[in-house]
Amino acid sequence: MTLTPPPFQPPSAEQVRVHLRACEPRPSININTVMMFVSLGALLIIWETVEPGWVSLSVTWMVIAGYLAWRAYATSQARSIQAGVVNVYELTLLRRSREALLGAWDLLPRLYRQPAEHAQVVSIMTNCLMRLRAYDPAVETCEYLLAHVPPQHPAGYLIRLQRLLGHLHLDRLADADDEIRSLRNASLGPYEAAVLTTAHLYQQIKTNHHDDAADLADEAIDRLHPLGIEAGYGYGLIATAFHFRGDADAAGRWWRRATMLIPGHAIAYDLPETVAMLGAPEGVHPPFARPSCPPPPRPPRRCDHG
Amino acid sequence: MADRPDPLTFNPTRFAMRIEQTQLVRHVIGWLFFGGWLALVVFDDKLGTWPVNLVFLAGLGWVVAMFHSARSARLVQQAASLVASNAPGDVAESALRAAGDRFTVHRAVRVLYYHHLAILRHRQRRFAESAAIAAALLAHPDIRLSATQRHHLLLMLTESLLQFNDLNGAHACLMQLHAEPLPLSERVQRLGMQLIYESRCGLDRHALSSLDGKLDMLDLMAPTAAAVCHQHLGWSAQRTGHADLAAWLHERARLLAPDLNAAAPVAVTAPFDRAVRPLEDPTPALDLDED
Repeated sequence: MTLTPPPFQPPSAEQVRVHLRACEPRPSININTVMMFVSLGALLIIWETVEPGWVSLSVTWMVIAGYLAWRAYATSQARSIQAGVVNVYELTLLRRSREALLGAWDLLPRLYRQPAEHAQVVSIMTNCLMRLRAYDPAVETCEYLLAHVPPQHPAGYLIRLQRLLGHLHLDRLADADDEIRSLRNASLGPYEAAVLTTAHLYQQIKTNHHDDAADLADEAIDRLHPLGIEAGYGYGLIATAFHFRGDADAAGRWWRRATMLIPGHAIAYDLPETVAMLGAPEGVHPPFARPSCPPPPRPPRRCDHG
Repeated sequence: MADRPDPLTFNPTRFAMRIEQTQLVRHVIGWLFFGGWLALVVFDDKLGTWPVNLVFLAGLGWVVAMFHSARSARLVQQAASLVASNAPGDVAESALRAAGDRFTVHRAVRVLYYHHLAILRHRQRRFAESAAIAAALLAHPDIRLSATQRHHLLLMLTESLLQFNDLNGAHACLMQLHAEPLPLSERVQRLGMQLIYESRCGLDRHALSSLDGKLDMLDLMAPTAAAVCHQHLGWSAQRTGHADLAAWLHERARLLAPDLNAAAPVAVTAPFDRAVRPLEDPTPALDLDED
């Protein structure tokens, strides 16, 4: 009989809360410094108590070798943790959210002595949970981060924006409305302002204010382009607004723009309100976007033009 | 009185001198200490008190040098934080100027200072200076760079050389970057650089090969940098007769960066994907053990 593993389930908000509380960074003594003083103390005791000779010499060298071995072990541990953080970060970038979340979950207990890495891994977890549509636990991680980030930290706005998107997905529209009003008065950078515009568009679609959402179309490209390809979500929302307003031409135009950046099914998966647009023509790669060329040169061929 | 040179003006001779200065001071103090200790062990009391004085002097010199260096290291770290967090140019410059004037016995501090000076110059589009600093750091035989520093300097140097259309130099840097395992963020930047290089050299079929995979990687870049790469891919598509693909790539470039000016230099090495690392400390840790 073969056992099949149970299907992947993102953690619940309660599980996330318990895990974050259990893995919270706590002040601890610097073990490296302690080990150095212990070694020095041991050397002083040996020199004071043992008669000079081969015994004291060998014990001295053994203490020094022990200290060096400890340093090598501590360095390898630190490197392995750093490699773990880089690994989950790269998995997140590649949108392999399940693996990234599992990696981050397992890594978190090892980071109780590194608050910066700990916060980074929690923010990676937020991102993965949002992508996996586990919005309740994602909001939980945002609350945790906001409680631990210093008030003036530049990342604070970004975490609040992620929480805002979570609230919108969870239909907590009153909370979302309060957050949008509060963030409108904040001095946001272009990236954060673009996320806020997307959230505002999403709120208008959610609350059936399609006309208001469509009115934002004139300045949408200027406002949303700092998001890079993720601006496609905003364009998809504008297309949906035009669709519900009955302007099929404009809806098709905006949907084409949106799907030039992100495939239509991905937009509809992340924003189910845009599912009505799925039948419209998409701005996907032309069929000859995959030319049958030889593999890329590695290393590149030498060029003598310069 | 002669004017002191501005520490922010890069001078290769002064750079080499300052790197050697750290080494020299460490060697002098080390040899004084070792010489005094050896004299004490070998000659016992026969040489009077001067070996003891020598050891004491070396120890005192070491303490003073370390004390002075610790302050320099702190200033350089602060300046590096300002540069890495994209602080306004004049603020970062004044912090770097204050840090660069000071003496240190740690070569890692000097290297961190010059590395961040190169980053600042690169960001200010002063590519000649950033290339000179990066090349000097990479070529100095006594400097042991961390893998991250080395990759970053190579990427900056490649980009600067591409700005000057020095394709042979860019090729040599790309070769070095291909010879090393790179993390994802640097692989993306290298891909951007390679696409520009191939487009400039007319290696259009190479640029367009495995296009889907390349577009997935470009999606991870900052929008403006991704748009530049799309433009170059578009030109390659145009030259190979794929007019529709070229139009699609140019339209995507316009969506990614509507105000992109094809003539203006754009840094492909710009930081990317802020959403997943909002809390990362951008300053690299200063590892004094490297000395």
